[in-house]
Amino acid sequence: MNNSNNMYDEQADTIRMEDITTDINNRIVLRRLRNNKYGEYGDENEYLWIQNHHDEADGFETCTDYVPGGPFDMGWLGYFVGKSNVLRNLSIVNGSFLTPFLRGVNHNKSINEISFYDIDMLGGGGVYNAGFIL
Amino acid sequence: MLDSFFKNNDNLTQIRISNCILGNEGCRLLALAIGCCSKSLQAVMLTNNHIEEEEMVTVITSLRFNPQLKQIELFRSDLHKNGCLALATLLEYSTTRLQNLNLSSNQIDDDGIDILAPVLTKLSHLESLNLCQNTLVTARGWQRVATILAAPNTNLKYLKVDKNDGDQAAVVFADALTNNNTLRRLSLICTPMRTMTAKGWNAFSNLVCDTSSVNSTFRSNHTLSTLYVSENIQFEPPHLRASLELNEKNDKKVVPIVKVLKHHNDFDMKPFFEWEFKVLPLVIGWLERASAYTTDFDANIEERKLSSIYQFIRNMPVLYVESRLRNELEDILSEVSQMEEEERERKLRKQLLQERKKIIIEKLGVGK
Repeated sequence: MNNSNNMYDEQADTIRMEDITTDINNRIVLRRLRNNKYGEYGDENEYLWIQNHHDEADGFETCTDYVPGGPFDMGWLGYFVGKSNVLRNLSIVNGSFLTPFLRGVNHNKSINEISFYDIDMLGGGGVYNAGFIL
Repeated sequence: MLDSFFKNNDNLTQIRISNCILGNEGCRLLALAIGCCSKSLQAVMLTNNHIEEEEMVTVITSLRFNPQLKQIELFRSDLHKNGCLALATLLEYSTTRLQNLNLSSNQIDDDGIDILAPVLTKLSHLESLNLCQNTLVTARGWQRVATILAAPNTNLKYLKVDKNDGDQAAVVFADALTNNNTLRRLSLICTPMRTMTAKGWNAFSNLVCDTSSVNSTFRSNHTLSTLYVSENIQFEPPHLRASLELNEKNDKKVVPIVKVLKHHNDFDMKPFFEWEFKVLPLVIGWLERASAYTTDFDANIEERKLSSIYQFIRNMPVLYVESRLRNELEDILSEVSQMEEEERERKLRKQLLQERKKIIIEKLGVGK
């Protein structure tokens, strides 16, 4: 673990979800990832979609999509993904602020299926070179 | 960035990259990522990523480090001849246990098919093959693809191809499926200007249920259960859909029997007369077994039995009379033989009793 991850490690148990997320659905997803347990309602903890908008209504407990708010929240999201033992399927549709996110994902060993959709890896969308992803 | 993820995640089974812009450097990095993936990787799916052929060859070549792959999808990936060459090499020497291959919407032509077909014929684990929307392939190329279905070790269950030459490809695929017992689903995607007519439809109708004779019906294809053709369904023969639905049954002993009962109201026994009455019990036994199967029509089993017996007797009256007399003579001889045996036993018993009687009298001195 590098210094960045040490920072996350130190705060992971105590940081308030409200302080690192931009909306309620992102908070639900992030809280579930931090709890790192199998789904309360089904398989909702096994899926994560990074996309441009939420598919479910606000506060929907089974939501599985996360809308990037900025590099700060995406760093935390990546950190908890890296720590997750239950996440099976990661789909990235929105390429914004992926660098801090993918840094955390690198530590994950539970994901079975990883997908990238509609991302310009040459420029735009916050990703400026495929090297940032691959 | 994700090099550590790809390398160390032993649970990673699938990578999908769809509608992304990778660029040359992105393709090089993708090839490196695939090359260092853990051996858990089962599927690589690349769809419409604007990859040029030279880069695609690099990516395909990198798949050789994952011989365990079961699924490769290169949909709309601008595959030309060089891509086909790289893929053929991969399939022949590395990913030999591949089960699912999707090459739809590429630039594959007859030359590409010539390169791929011999290798695809050898892939005994391949269950699904999608070659549709390769509009450069002509009837010659599809004829080559059809050879995969006729290969002795094929395990193909699902095939999706174009049919841009009217009826010709339909007839070719129907012929290739004559002795095939693995393919369940066939999709023939048609171009609007060259549609399949009654000729093509009839080829498939005869494939799944040839009603020209009982033997032909029995030896029809009983595996193909889904035929997707996008147009001209007005030419679809009436029995085709029912035969395809019948082929969905898992018990393949039942399917030909039901087809025979459905399409042959009366069995012609003439071909069996050379074996005289030896065949008749087999025919009756077959009909009795058939009566156990549920059908959506009246199979008239009892009438068929009587009809079969009648045909034998009517066509061989002398043989029948002789056979009856021989049977009666055998019965008489058997009864006489039994009576003679009983007579011998009776005499023997009488003799034993007399000897016993003599012994008893002597012991009692009754005679003195």
